[in-house]
Amino acid sequence: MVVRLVRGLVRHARAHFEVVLYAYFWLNASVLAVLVGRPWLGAVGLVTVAPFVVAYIVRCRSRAR
Amino acid sequence: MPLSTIRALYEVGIALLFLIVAAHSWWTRGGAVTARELVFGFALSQSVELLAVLHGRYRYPDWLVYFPPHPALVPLGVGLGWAALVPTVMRISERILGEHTAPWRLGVLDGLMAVGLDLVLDPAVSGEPLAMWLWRGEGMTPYRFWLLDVPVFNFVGWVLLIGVCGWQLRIVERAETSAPKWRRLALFFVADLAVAVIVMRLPWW
Repeated sequence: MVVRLVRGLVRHARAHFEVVLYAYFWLNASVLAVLVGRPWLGAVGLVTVAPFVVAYIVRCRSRAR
Repeated sequence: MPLSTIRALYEVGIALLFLIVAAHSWWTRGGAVTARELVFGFALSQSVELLAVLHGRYRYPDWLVYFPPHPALVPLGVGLGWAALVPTVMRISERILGEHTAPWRLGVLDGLMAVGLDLVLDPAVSGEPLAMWLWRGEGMTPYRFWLLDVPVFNFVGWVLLIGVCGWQLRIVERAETSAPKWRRLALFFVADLAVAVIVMRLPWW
């Protein structure tokens, strides 16, 4: 079960490598923000980064149908 | 965690990300287009960064590796980071708008995505306490307009540089297969640097 889940996640990550990387950049910057004492900065990405990720997911899903 | 350790991890992390992006692009898109995207992204961004530092826009103190090593003005990791980001946002834009959308539209989306990320990244790592790059100092540009403790100039630069990179790379890649792609990229590179010199000399903001 867990192995299948992990394999599925890896397959998706490879197929959507760029958007996974983009989200990782955001996560990485958010962790850095916490480490330097500005934890609220990560939330800025909800407005500035997340819309692009959502748009990507929506477009991929609409094309898959 | 000590700040020096965070700084070193950040720098090494950028280099690793560049290698991962390069390897993935090589496998999925082939060597020739990967080389053009990464070399153009690195050369243009590293050169514009060098111009900016020479014009006192900001400075990069105490990095591990600089390129060129002398004078040690711009870290190698900066150009590698830009070069890794360019193909990343290019592919996402193409998935969102469609691969056959006009290059300028895709370029605009590239730039917006990049600046969206930088609105989180730059306020975290520039200035104190991490001080990967600094905006204030003797002889440096006295910026008037700031956002999240970062000059607005920086965000405008992100949109322009990433947008122009994506736009020009697509123009070159969409040309006929027999077209001299490297030569066209070299012309774009020279033109971009000329524009960058003019922009750096403007008294803004």
